[in-house]
Amino acid sequence: MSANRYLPAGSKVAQLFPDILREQGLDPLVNRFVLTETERGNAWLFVVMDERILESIESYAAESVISRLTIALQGHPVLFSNSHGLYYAVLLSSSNLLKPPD
Amino acid sequence: MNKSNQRILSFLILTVLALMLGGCTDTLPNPSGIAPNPGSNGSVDPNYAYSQATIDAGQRQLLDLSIMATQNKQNMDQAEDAAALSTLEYEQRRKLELDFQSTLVSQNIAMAAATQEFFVQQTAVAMQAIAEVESHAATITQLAIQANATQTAQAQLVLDARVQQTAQAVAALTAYPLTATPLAATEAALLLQQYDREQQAFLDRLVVPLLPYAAAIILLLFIGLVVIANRRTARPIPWLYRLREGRGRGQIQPTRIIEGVEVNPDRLENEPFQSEQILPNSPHLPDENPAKIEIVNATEIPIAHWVYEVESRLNAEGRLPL
Repeated sequence: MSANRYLPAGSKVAQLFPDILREQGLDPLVNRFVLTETERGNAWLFVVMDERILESIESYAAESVISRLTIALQGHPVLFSNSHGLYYAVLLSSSNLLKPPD
Repeated sequence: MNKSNQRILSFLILTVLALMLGGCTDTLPNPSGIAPNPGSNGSVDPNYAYSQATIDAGQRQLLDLSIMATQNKQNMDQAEDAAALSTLEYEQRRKLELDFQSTLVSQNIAMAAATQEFFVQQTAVAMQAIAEVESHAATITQLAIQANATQTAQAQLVLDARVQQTAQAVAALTAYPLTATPLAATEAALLLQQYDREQQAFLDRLVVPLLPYAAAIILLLFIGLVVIANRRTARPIPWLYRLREGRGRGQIQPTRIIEGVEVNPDRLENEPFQSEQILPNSPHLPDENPAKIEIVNATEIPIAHWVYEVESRLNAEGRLPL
């Protein structure tokens, strides 16, 4: 299966991501967006950050920021990692994982 | 000469002897030749004895002379032989000398011939050397002539340039007095005015009517360039984006709290977040990728590491969908 079908969703996330970081008082130092799909059908959008965020990496990896990104992206899981690079990972293939509270 | 004198002397001696013998015959009583014995008579004539003695002496002398003549003749013969021998030897020596001289002459001739041949060879070599030298000299002369011709041509060019400059200077000096006079200056001013009028007429007739069309074409080109540049950047026009946002603000939805975080659903709901369930198999157009998303195979490095890590974390949290 091709990851091209996730390209519109990835584009929307890519458009919203810098604004969400800016709302959290963070500088959106994004280097690139990488879209991929695994063999099991999971589509991931990796938001690769610049190394300059190392000065305040705790702020970028804060749970509050992750939760804000998850909610702003309609419950799509968002993870931050500093292993093999600095990046956020957004799982595009699962939607409505986070149900809004009743 | 010596031989002739000896012959003359021998003849004179023989003549004298003959006369002496004739005188003696008249006085002798015995013609038989037997001398009388003067003693038989008892006495010897002293004259006779003297004569006899003279005869004897004369005979002895004659004999001596005869012997001497014979000897002389023999000597003469011997002298002749000796002379002949000496002449032969002389001739032989002469011949030897001549042969020797001829040999010398032949050697000289041979040496002269060799010398002449040597001189001929030397002359040939000299002639060849002279010919080569002349050839070199001719070549050098030719080169010198060519160099001289080149220099002459360059000098001619320089001279032509000088002549042209001089002609220009003369023309300038000649033209200056023509415009220096008032009448010439007036004529020149009139010519300039006429030229300006012709230029202005050309502009009025041809260039000015085309200016509106040219302006319209330039404006269209500018608009086209703006549109093309906007499509190339593939970003929405800011005022159009704000217009879309403004139309949605009429239906403001209440803020929701999700996991303790305040969420404004207007942003996402007015801008529908499309996942694969909303747009199945939608074709991808290059203009729909304004954020420059790279599509990379999940097996590539470091994407594989990233995928492994995040899926492991989600799996550990039990959030990874099956």
